[in-house]
Amino acid sequence: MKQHHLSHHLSNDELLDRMYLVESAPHLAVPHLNDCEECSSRLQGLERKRAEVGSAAAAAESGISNEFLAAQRRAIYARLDQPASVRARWAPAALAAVFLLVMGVFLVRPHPQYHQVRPPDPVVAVDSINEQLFSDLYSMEQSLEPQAAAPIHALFEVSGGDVEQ
Amino acid sequence: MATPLVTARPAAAAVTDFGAWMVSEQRRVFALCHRLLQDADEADSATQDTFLKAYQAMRKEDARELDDPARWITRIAVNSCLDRLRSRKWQFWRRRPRTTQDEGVTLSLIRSSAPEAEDRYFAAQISSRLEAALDRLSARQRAVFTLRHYDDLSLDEIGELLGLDVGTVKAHMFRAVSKLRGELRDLYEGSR
Repeated sequence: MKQHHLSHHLSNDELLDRMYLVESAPHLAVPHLNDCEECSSRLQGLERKRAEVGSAAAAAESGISNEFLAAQRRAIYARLDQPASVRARWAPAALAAVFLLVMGVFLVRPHPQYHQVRPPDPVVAVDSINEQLFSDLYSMEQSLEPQAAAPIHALFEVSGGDVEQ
Repeated sequence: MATPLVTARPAAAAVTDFGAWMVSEQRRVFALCHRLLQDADEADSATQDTFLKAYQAMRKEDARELDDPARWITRIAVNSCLDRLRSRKWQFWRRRPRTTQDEGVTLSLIRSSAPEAEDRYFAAQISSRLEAALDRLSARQRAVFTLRHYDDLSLDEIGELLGLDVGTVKAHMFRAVSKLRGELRDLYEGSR
């Protein structure tokens, strides 16, 4: 079987990882710690410090006064005595209110499907267009000739007179 | 093995038993909540919630005998704290920066008596700095790290308390240690 051995001491980060059980290669670190006195004593040093933190926390724990705990118990008993129905009574009412609110928002909000269709722009009937066109043409026909053509007409009129003579 | 706690009893007897049991567990539960939440008021509320939930669970008709009431109440407490930590994320108006006054309170809890005074002083410093750094962790990372760091629980035990498998616990622990590595390095190496 192949033997794995670390050729170097574990770094402080590797020891930290070991202490918090997140080392990436426990199959290497654990045998090394078993064999290497220096690394194992360094790990023990770290563990000792962590224990000091734990004892500080425990000391803080013991600093919790009995009066505080008694007051806390009284508060818990008061909440135990509170009938569950007090809270339960409000729950359906609250649910109903929320439901009505949601429904109200849903119904009031104009749904795109129900939007009023905008009436189309008035379209002039084709017949009326034709009618207008014919009346324009007729009026043009009946109207006086354009002034631009007048000199030419005058020429013809003159020459017409000469022919008669 | 822990004394079994029989549940689903008539209310009066249950309250009597419950009261005695609460007295025996209350300090530990409050301390746990305080470590997880780092706020005395919130820890107080979480402790109350914990015992209230326990009482309600014990009164249910389908409740059965608990083999390990201490572990059971610990699980309820941890979950109550996790709920609070998660909801705290949204309550930005409640966040307050950790001040030197807070550290003073922590330090005042450590009674100085030579020759252990120095050790305790440094331990309190470690504790204060770590507690401040814990704010950077997610609720689960924080719970996992705290249960290992202060309560020396194994990954299996933490997984059982949080209802997670060991792999997930290890992943949370890994991330927590990665985020706290700077503080941990300073505190373990450079505080003395």
